[in-house]
Amino acid sequence: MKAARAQEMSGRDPGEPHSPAALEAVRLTKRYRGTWALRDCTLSVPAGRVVALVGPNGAGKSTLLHLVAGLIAPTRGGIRIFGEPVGQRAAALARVAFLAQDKPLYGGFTVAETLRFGRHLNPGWDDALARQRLAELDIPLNRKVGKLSGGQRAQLALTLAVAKRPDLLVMDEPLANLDPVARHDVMRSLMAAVAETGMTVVMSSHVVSDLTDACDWLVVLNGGHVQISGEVDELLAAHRMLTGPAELADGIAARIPVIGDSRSGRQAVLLARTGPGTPSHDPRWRVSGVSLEELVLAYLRHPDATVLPRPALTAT
Amino acid sequence: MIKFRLDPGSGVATYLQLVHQVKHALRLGELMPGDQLPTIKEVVGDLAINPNTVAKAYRELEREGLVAGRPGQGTFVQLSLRGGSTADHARFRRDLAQWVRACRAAGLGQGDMEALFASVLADSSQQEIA
Amino acid sequence: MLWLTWRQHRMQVLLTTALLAVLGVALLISALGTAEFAARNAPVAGCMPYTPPCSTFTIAMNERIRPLGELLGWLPLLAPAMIGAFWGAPLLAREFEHGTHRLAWTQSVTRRRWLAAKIVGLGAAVALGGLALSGMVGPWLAAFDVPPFDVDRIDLRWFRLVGIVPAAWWLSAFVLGMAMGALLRRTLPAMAATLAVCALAFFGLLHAPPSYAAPQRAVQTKVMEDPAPEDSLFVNAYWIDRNGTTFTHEQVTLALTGPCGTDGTEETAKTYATCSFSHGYRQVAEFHPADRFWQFQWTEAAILLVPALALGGVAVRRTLRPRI
Repeated sequence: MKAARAQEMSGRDPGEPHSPAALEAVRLTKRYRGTWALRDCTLSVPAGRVVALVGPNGAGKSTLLHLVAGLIAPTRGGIRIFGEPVGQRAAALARVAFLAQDKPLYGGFTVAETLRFGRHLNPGWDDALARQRLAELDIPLNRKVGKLSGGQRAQLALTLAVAKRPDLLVMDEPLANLDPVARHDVMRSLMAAVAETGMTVVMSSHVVSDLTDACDWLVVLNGGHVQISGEVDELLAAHRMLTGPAELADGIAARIPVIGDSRSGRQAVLLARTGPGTPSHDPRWRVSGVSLEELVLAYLRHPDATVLPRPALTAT
Repeated sequence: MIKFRLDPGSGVATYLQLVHQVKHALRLGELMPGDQLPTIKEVVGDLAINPNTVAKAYRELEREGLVAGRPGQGTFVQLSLRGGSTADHARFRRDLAQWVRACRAAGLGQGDMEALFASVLADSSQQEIA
Repeated sequence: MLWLTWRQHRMQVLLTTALLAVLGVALLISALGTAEFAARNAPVAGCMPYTPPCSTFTIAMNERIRPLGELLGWLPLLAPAMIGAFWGAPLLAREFEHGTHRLAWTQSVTRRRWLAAKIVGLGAAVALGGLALSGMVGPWLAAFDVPPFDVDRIDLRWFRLVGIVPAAWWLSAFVLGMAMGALLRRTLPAMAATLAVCALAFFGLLHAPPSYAAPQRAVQTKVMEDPAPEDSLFVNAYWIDRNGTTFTHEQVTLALTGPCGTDGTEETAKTYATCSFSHGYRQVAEFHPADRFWQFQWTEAAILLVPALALGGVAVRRTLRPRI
């Protein structure tokens, strides 16, 4: 059964061009008492992706995720999830699961009662999946939630969200406040759940390295704006680190977009958007690939540089 | 069954690391035709990586004809990359072990041996091309 | 959904039920004992007040009703305050405080349904609790209502323990607590505010029932023991002279000091009253007849429930609006 699901996975095309986007925001704006948390965010994420939402603290990540989960309403603009507007309708609520940063659970409930909570409040509840996950994680059903460790709490909260069988799972800093072992364990079981269910996942973090291998779509929020939205592999393929003589750096910058530029004495290290494929280049420049972390940092330091969604990126 | 591991500092794309590890196991005979590769869920549940990455690696291996997906069952090895017979392998291994002992006796370290082997390998492949 | 409400609030429900049950048993024992006592000791009909057989019986009955009566006297203040603070205030405040509203609101149930299950489910339980209290106190009081001992439901001592008024107090305190929790979003401040408002309402309305309607007025035409009819709610008594001018009791006493002597002991009371009458004074009593009981009950229920439900409506609207 498991193998069958995995097989379906390997055969499916993650970016089917005609299916509606898993998540689509149009000119999304949220204002709190005079301060803009989000301004004109336009965003489209295809189905089946695991999306990393990164950005500095206060960039509007939580606001965006709360808007997607329908916990707050936008000041302007709108969001659609699989083509349906977000709202207080049971059918719309059933498609999205949300895991808040502090992983709220009822501390007085036992683990079994927490599952019962999920079953009573979700028509699509997959009890077998929930019990199997908890058995794999060695979380006893009769334990009080308040007595679980931080990692077990996070796993239970994740189980509750996954067993709802959502089409879109939204997680706000799922790894914050967890020790390294728990972070890895949560990520492993999340990825296994994604492999099993094929759901789309959007998760935020301010630590890029947490999400590097898990995510295949990157969204960078900076100061309430969307700075990058695109497929991780394409983004990495389109950027190169160029190391060479400092006196030639300005010449490079004049020809191709340079996002990161650090110079020490006679040497310059440039992070440039070279576009897909290996660029033809001057032999005095050494060309190397960039890591996701380098890419994100370079863009965050230059809020004016953007890689915004293009139709070519969403329909692979 | 093969167990994958990742080298985060290698700079090699994750899916390519998986492809290389399968090929390596095929060469060493750790994987033989008919063997099953771990399911995508098993791999991601172990490595905490994106399922699409594993799917991409398996698709690449399928494209090269090394493995094939059987619907409802999993992904199975089709071809072996191992050259020569098992008897040949055993003989070459014995010879190589003898060579290593001789090097050690002559005072060569591991790095020296690796460099020597790589250089001879490169020379011989150049001669073949020529 | 009702399972969730029950699971989250079963402590309150069970504790309240247990307390009501204990009270019920105490009332039952007391009522049975009193019924038996009254059957054996009640004087035959038509016994004169203040005669020894009558007094003995009324004193004994009074002794019997006193312990539980004093205990019950605290309930109109304590019960709604506790219901408001422990049933109402944590209902939403605790969810906001622990962030579990984010958990509940992202399940496949609309916020409206979630809130309805909580408020309607627990509100019904609270109203039932209030009705259960009056349902137990009513028959208990009836066991004491054996002439010449007199128990009036309209008497302020019992008014808030019978009929629908306990349910109205409990329910409005519950809604008040819920609203405080929704507006303050923190359990302890919501509990404190609820307790404060409950106490304020209790002391504000403590002596209010007599003013729920204009009292009836009875002018005494002959010397009698009590100017207000039996079973009625006494409001006020004063004197008038032939011109209709009103006097207080003291003014009359002062004016009659010469002609009638002093209004002292019991034996002279009648003579004194006859003397006052002969000088043209008439005693007037203001009272509410016993049949205004239900009118007063509904009036007090409305005074409590209308503002409580209005505040509750505001709180519900704020909770349903997608905010933080």
